[in-house]
This record gives sequence, structure tokens and C-alpha cells, in this order.
Amino acid sequence: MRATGTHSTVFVVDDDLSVRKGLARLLKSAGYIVESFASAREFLDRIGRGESAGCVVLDVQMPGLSGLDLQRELKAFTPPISIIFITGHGDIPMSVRAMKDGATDFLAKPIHDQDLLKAVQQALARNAEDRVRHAALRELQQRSSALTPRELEVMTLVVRGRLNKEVAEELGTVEKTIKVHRARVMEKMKVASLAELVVVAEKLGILPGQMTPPVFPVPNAESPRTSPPPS
Amino acid sequence: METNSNIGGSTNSFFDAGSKHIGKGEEERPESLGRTVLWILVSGACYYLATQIAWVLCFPDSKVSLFFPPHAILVSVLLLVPTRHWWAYTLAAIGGHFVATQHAHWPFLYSLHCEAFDAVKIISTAAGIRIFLKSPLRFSTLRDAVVFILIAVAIVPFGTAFWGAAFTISNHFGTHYWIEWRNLGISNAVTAMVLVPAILHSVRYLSTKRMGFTPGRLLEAGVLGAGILTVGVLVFDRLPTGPDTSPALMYTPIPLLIWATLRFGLGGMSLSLLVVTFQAIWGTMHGRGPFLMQAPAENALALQGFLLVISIPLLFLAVMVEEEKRSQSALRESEERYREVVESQTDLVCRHLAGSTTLTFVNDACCRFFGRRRKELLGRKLLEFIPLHTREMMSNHIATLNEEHGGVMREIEMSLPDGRAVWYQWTVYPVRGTDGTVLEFQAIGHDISDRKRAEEARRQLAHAARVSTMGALAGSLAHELNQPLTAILSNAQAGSRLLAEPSANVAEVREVLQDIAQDTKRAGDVIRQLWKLVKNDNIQFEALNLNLLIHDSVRLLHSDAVIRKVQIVLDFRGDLPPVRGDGVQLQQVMFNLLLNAFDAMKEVSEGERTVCLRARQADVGGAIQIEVSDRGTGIKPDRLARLFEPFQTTKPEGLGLGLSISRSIVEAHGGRLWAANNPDRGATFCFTLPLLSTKPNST
Repeated sequence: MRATGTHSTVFVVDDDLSVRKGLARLLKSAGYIVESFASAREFLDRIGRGESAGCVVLDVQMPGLSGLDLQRELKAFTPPISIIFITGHGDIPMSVRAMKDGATDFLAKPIHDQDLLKAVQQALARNAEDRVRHAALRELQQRSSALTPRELEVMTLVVRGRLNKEVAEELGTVEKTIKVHRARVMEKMKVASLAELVVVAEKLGILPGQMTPPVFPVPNAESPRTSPPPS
Repeated sequence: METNSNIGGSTNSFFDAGSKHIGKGEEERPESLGRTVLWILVSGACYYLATQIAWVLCFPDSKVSLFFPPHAILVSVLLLVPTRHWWAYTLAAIGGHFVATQHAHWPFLYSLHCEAFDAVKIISTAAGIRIFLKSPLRFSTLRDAVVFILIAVAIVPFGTAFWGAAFTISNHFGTHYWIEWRNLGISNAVTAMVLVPAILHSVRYLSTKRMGFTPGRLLEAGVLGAGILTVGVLVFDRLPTGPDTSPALMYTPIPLLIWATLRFGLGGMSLSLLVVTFQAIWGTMHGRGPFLMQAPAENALALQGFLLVISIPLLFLAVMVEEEKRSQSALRESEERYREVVESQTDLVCRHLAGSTTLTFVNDACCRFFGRRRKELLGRKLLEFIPLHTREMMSNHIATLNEEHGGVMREIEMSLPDGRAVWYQWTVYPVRGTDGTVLEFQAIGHDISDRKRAEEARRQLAHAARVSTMGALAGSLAHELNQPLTAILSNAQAGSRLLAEPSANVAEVREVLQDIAQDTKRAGDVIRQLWKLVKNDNIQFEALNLNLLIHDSVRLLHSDAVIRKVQIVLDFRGDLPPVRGDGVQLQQVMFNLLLNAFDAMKEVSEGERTVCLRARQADVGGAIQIEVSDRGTGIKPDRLARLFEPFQTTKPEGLGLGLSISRSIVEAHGGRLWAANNPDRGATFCFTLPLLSTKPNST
């Protein structure tokens, strides 16, 4: 039995019993752990808001809460669980919308095993990546919560490229104190260089111009300077 | 009131009109008063003349007038005019007679007495006849003849003769009482017998617009007349009396008289009898003929007896001939009338023999239909004219008829001579003889092509509507097929993966295969539903399980309902009893109502789109009532009335036929379909279906 990830489960949500059973059986025969649900509501009740490892194979058209409605609900999850949509109707506009909203794939019934398994593999991989990234982020957030307010201030200014002297001036202390804060920040955040700190800062979303924490690691963009660079 | 028509003629005479109203009051039209007066005066003059003639017809040495026309003439006249005019006519007549007698210098009182006596005699004759014969005397029935003979020939002449004889004897005329009585009686009898029928018939004949005789008949009449005259002259005039002349010769005119009666009826009889009478009297008067054996008195008696004896049977014969003619004509008229009814039919009416279907009668419509003349059809077999493909059915139909007593109806397709197909409803029933065996069959064919065409058109329309519904449901159907197919594919692929495992779990593979089989059946069901929608058969009634029907319909619409976010709620109370109907058509009704309900809720917010499907047995009559309720905007009041009419739709892409077809389907099942707005929101469509035990109406 081949497991692609620890505790990774494939969830199957479809209101049709035969389809549910067939898909579940297929996925089980490929070695995945499968849980089936007859409605989106049942699925939500099951996974709660807890961390879910895996992906969900989701029928678009269901009575009650539809697949797209569920996608909206699942967006609030962190990390968001990967979605593979399946549909009995070949509806192109809906599929485009679903993909734009972040689904991994959109498959039309009847579903071929290769298409499904490939999509599940992708979705689980993505989910694994997301989980890893999310874990890392949580770790960083934990570390940053250990910072004192002063240290946080120092860090915020330092990652903006301020010299120690400028930071001291801004905060109304001496350079020496800043140096001490800076060292402590480095220690608490477990980084070895300024560059690393900047990366951490960006991940935490405290660089100027960022609204939300980025999902994908983006290359270091030029951050606008609030004061002219030191000559 | 007796019909006033002589054969071929119409009565238009004043006399006839008068004699119909016996004793009843009638408005006197001013112009006819003048005519009446004229006729009265004419009668008086005639009577005078007749009297003169009669006196001539006496034996030379006898006072006996062996033939006294005037009385008979007056009796005839009285029988022709209204009773209330009798006094006038009588007075005129006896006035004439009185004048004549005074010219002949009869004693005044004697004359008066004679007039009075005559008047009484004549009036009692005429009155007697009129009383016993309610209708005018036409000598057309046996009763007429009998009454006439009894009264005018027997009772009155011989009855009044008692008094007349007494009178004559008391005035010292005549010889012996009984001889006078006999002479008076027989004189009057003979005169009445010979003259009255002749006069009455002639007057009627002359006053009716009779059709002329054919040349053949004229010739016959001519020959007959010549014969009678010749014979009469020979018998009564030429041969001298004496021992060489046999009295048997007087029988010679009799065959001719019979000929005249048989061929020319009352007219022939009376005219020829009159001729013979005059010839006999003339001859006897002049001393010739077979009657001059004894004294003049005996001769007169012999002559009168002869005339009386031959005339009475001849009158009966004439009456029977008249009766025969009349019933023949009535029969002909009746036959003509019925023939016209049959011939003017647009339905085909024909008769044929039982075994061979040989035609014995065809009406005009038949001839027109088959495009042949009547003589080409009679004698041929009916089956020859039925097209081959229906011939067997028709002949089986006829073969089974021998056992039936009433008419049996069958709808049979036939071809017109030009090849067009038409539908006729044939009702065939046997015509039986008096012993109960079937003589022939009468077949009536009624054109029902229009009805058949309308049925066919309706069927095509329903089919078109079904196909259109199928189009609306295509997406839904495709989805319903796709679900089991998806499951089958997944299962099959899972199965082969399972088998690829080193330790294959056979039990699980078996489960896989079972699931595949079940899903295939499910797909098959959907396909079957599809076929039912597509097929174009005639309506077939059978026992239906309504639960199953409703569930099937709902299942087919399931995916459509999901897409439109409509929730279908089923409300059944237990198992519904079976109904009799056509599943395809009823499903069409269900689809129509459900799809309409979906459409009605387009604008309703998603959580509130509920269609409630209720089915229960209504309390009245045990029929089943099915309701489809939506929570849409309801039906506008002005649209409610026309909802079920064809081509009513609010949808731009709709045909507008769904509800009208649904209603005609429900009604063909013996139910009703109606709609009403719900009290809170939306509308409900209800239809009823009678139970299996009750038969639906046939369309």
C-alpha cells in the first residue's frame, strides 16, 4: 500500500450513491485513504475547522449546498484543502470560474482513473506543500509573538533597510540599544543574516505594501523607501 | 279526415268541398253564394228536363215509369252538396217537377202529394246514406257499396213504395196493391242503382284535374265501348222477339261489363251499365229485344230484374277494384318515400347475401363511392370492392355475424377508386326470415375519415409535444445516464487494479461486478424512459402503479431540479391503488406540470424553491387526485380562464401546447385537470384519475 503523505485522506463528496461508491473504490484500489460524504454539509461537519490533510473530490451540482458554495466555505480554511471538481454536466463557464477560484482540477463524468489519480496526486502534493509552508509560517508567527513590542518595532524598521543609527534616531534611543535589540531579534527569529530576516519579515507580511501573507514564496521585490537611501 | 286525393289528381270542386262538412256550420263566402244559387237553379231545370224524359220512357200502355231518372239525379245532387242547402235544392227540383206535371194536367192535389212523397223519399235516401257513411260517398270501400245498396236500392224504394202504392190505389190508378208496390219499388231501385254511381263518379271525374289516358288505354276504352254498343244493339235492338230469340242472349253484355269494371273501375262500370240500360229500355220500348215474351208489365219486370241482378255484383266488383287501386297507390307512395330516404343518405347502405357477400341492394351513395353504376354492383361480391389489406378483416367480421342479433360496428379502412384511403364505420346486422334463418345482411357505412384524421393529428401533436419535452429534459436525461456510467467506469477500473494486486481480494472484486451490473440496469431504466418519450404509438390503456410512475418522473427530473435549486417534496399517503391509463401519456402530463412549476419559481430566492407533489384518493367517487404545487408568483386572474387553451405561453421559447395537451390526455383517461392559485403564494395544478375498476371515456 502506497501512501503519498502521512494522514493524507481523499474526501469524496457526491449526492449519487453509485458514483460515490465507485470513486471511493477506485481511489482505495490505488492505495489512498478515502472518506465519502453524501452532501457538502456532512463533509463540513466532519472536518470542522481543524487542519485537514488531503484533498476533496467534489461534485459541482448537489442539492442543498453546491460544490461551488463549498469551495467558498473551504477558502476560509488554512491551509485550504485542495479541490478536484467533478461534474455530470459539461459546463465550461462554471469550470473556468471554479479554476479561477483555485481548484486544482475540473473533471467531467465519466471519470477515467488516470485523470482522477493524476489530479489527486497533484492535489495531495499541493496540499502537502501548503501544509509544510503553513507549518513553517506558524513557526515563524510563534517566534515573532515572542518578540517584545520594542523588538518588533526594531525589526520592522531594520527590514526596511534602515541603519542602526537611523532606527535609534526614529525610536529615540541610542544605537547601542538598537544593536542589542537587533541581536535579540536575530536570535529569537533564528536567522543568521539581515537577508534572512527580510525573508522572514516578508513571510510574516510586515514589509511595507503587503496586505496579506503571501501564499507562494515570491522573489524579493523592490520595496519602496520611505526615506532616501543613506549616502 | 280522409285524404282528399284521387289517384294522380287533386280535388278542387265546389261540390267536394261542400260535401266534406256534413251538417257543420261553415262561413259562406259571398262569391260562392252566387254560385250556389246558380247551381240550385240549374238543378231545378235539370229535374224538369229529366222528368220529361222519364215520361217518354214508359211502356205505351202503362202508367209505370220503369225508369225514373229524376229521383236518382236529385239524390246524387243532394249527396254532393252541403246538408244545409238541401232544402233549396229539393224545392227547386220538385218545383220543376210540379211545373211539368201541371203542364201535363195532372190533378193539383195529386201533384202536390206526389211532390211531397217524392221529396220525403229522396231526402230520406240521401240522409240515410249521409248518416251511415260519415265521409262522402265515393264507392271506394265495401262499406260504401253495402250502405248504398241497402238504403238507396232496398230500404227506401221498397219502404216508401208501401205508401206510394197505397196512394196510387186510392186514387184509382194501377191494378193491384202489391203489384204497384213491386213496380214502384223495383223502379226506384233500378234507377238508383244505375244512375247514382254514374252521376257521382262523373261529377267527381269531371271536377278533378285528372291526367289523361295513355294511348293504349284510350284504344282499349274505344274497343270496349264499341263492343258494348254493338252487342247492345244486336241483343236489344236488332233481334226480333219471338220464340226464336232466346232470353239467354241478354247475358251477352255481361263479359263486356265485367271487362269494363275490371279495367276502368267504377267509371267503366257505371258508364257501360248506363249504356246497356238505355239500349235495353229503348229496345224493349220499341218492341224488340229478349224481354218481350209476355205482357208489358212482365217484360218490364224482367228487364228491371235483369238490370238489378247484374248491377249489384258489378258495383261490388267496381268497389273492390277501386280499393285495390287505392291500396296499390298507397303502397307505391310509401315505398317511394322510403326509397327516397335510403337513396338520399350520404351513408353507404347495401345488402348482401350471408355467405358469398353478393350484393342485392346498393343505394346511390354506394354507387358514388365505388364509382360504378348500380347494375355493375348488384350481383358482384362486396368483398371485391374492399382493398386487399382489409379484406380479411372484413370477411372475418362478416363471418362472426351469424351469431349476433343486433348490429355490430367495426371501423375499417377502405380505398376510394382513385386510391385515397378513407375510414368507414360499418354497422352490419342480419336480416332474418320468419323462420329465424339469416336471409341477408344489411350493412351501413358511415364516413369517419375526418374523425380518424383528427385523431391522427392529435396523436402526432402529442408526440411532437413529447419530443419537445424530451428536448427540455435532454440535459437531465444525459445527466441521469452519466451517473451510473461514471460509477461503472470507476468500478471497472478499480476492479482491474484490485486484480493486479499480488493478493487479489476476490470477494471485493465480486462486489465490484455486482455494483457494475446494478448500475447498468439503472442506466437501462433511463434509456427505457427515453424510448417511451420518443415512441409514437397509439394510446394503450393498462393497469398502472401511480407510485412508480411519479417516482420515475421525479427521478428523471432530478438533475434539472438540482441545477435550478428546486426541492421536490413528495407527499403520498401509503400505496396508491392502481389506475387504468397509458403510462407514457401520464408521464408527459407529470413532466409538463413539474417543469412548469420549476419555471414558475425562476425568480424566487434559492432557498424557497419548493415543489410539493401530493397524491391521495379523493373522497368522492374514489378517484385519485394528484396535485403539483409551486411557490412561485401564481397565475394572473386574466390568464386563469384561458390557461388550458392551446398556444398560451409566457415563455419566449415555448409552444404553449403543454397544458392543452395535458388536459386532453387527462380527459381521455376519464379525469379532470384544473388549476388554482394557492392562498399564500404560488399555484397548484390538480388532476384526477379514475380507478382501475371504472372505464375511461373513449375519445
